[in-house]
Amino acid sequence: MTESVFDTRDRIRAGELSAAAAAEEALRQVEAVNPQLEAATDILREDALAQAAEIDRRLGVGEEPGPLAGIPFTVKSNICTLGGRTSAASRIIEGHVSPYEATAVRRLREAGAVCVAKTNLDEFGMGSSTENSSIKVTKNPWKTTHVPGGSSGGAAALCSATRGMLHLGSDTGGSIRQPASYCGVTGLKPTYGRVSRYGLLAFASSLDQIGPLQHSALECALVLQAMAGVDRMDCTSRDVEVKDYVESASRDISGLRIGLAPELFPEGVEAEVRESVERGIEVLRGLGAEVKEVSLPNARYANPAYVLVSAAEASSNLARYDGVHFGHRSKNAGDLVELYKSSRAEGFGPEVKRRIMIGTFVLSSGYYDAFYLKALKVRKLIQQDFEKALGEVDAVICPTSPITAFPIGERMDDPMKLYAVDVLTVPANLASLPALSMPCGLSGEGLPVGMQIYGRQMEDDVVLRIANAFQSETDHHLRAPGVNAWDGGGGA
Amino acid sequence: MSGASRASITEERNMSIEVTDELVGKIAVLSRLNLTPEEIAGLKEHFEKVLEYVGELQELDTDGVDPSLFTTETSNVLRPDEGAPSLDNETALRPAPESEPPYFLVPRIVGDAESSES
Repeated sequence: MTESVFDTRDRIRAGELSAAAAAEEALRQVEAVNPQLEAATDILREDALAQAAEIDRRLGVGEEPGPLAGIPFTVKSNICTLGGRTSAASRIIEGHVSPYEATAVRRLREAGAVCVAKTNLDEFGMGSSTENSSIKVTKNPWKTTHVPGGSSGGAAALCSATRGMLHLGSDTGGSIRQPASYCGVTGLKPTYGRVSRYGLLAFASSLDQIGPLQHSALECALVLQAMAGVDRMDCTSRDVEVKDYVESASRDISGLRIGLAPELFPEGVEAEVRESVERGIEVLRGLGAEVKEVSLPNARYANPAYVLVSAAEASSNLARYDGVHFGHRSKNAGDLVELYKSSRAEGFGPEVKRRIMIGTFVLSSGYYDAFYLKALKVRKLIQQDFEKALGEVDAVICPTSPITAFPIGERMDDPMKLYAVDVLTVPANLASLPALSMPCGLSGEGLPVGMQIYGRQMEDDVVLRIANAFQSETDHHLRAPGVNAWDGGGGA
Repeated sequence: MSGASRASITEERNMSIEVTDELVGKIAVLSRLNLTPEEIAGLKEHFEKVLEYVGELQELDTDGVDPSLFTTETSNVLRPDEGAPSLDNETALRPAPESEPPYFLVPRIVGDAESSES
């Protein structure tokens, strides 16, 4: 079974498939793989079938339900939807049902898409393995003893094991691209400001961005086209023309200049990963791309700067979870300050507490200049590095993660070991650039390897175009994992 | 003392920050988190590791570099100050763990008549 989102769309348009049947099929797939993968936190059967029936009604009377009419989609559980829980996989808002919906979700619904499930994540997006979830640990469909990556691990695992749906994730330091890499799918972190963040539970507001995880760059382009654009509810969303991303991604890449920076192939990159990415670059060269070396001298400082900046912003953003407005409220508190302290202590998981503490520390009097301000200055240097490099080339290519998916539990004893896998993805967030991960091979163990493409701000189309050219020439993105929704409902 | 020289003194000083229970405890109060002694001990170790990890940032000369908060060209986005519908009171209160419409409920924050006299 290799049905793409475009096939689903076209069959619904042609009247060969009803939106209700498409929703049923999506629900069947999610229900088939979820017992093994634990990727979906909420399966929204009733809501989905009601929405699909409405799309069918509109199609039946000749109305235009929108460009995504009847296409099923899933949403990461830190993005607000009107149906299902928006729990952020945190005890502090475990049963939370949002009273409003995210702009990105609303735009997909208004384009006719049908929400079928919410997906698992690391609590508030803090993690790279989906092990830091208060709900459950998601498994990698290629090898269920291994992590799917994170924090959008639920979306990546579900995307990998199913077909014909759209999946929304969020990316603060790699949380779309790294799980996409580990699960063998294509994930795009759009340019900062390309997609409204309204309704995304804020982790680090200057780094967060919503984006798609799909089976191809063209599917990502379709989702981006529907979500992108300025929004009065997010003053950091940018009023820049929304291109026809599907059309622009379909153009060829001859003459495009691709940069390789030795700093983005550091020592810690496993040999198998390096070799797969290098073979991928040869494919692009064969398609007419010109490959040259560029320099990003400060890239090695990106992860330490990210650790400080993201924690600082998190400590401020998560102050809103106070036991008063929503979520968990401690039963063991006398006065108001005790209520805050007890509710937060009982509600937040260990990694979230670590980040809040580090963030509060670097923002506190006496340490602000030495840590937070220093990190912001380093962020500026990294941004300048990319400006210079992307003045010489149209895109920069590197591995998405230094390693492939690792065994569940392997990196949980030491948070620093988990932070280390983000080194090649965080620069895109610090510099506000679009970046995409796509599969480019399998390791000896049979685990997917991801290749990453960085582009210039607001040139998401160029990134998608390079990925689509690669996928037109290769079949890595079409390979299916052992656990999938069509081999007897979820194989080995 | 100028801002710049104060910053450089702080930068030098941070090279040898001693992470004590007291420091971690103070940050916990600022973070509004009740922590157990085991959590304090774990966080102390974590602080030491993070400080070591980010220590290499000090190698970089950042004198005269503008700190970057946002890296896009956008600044000061203005729009007309026009009213628009927002959540009604009942909907906004729905997720609250305790409420007394139209209010969120919190513990008493000022003492009653007796305790304020004492």
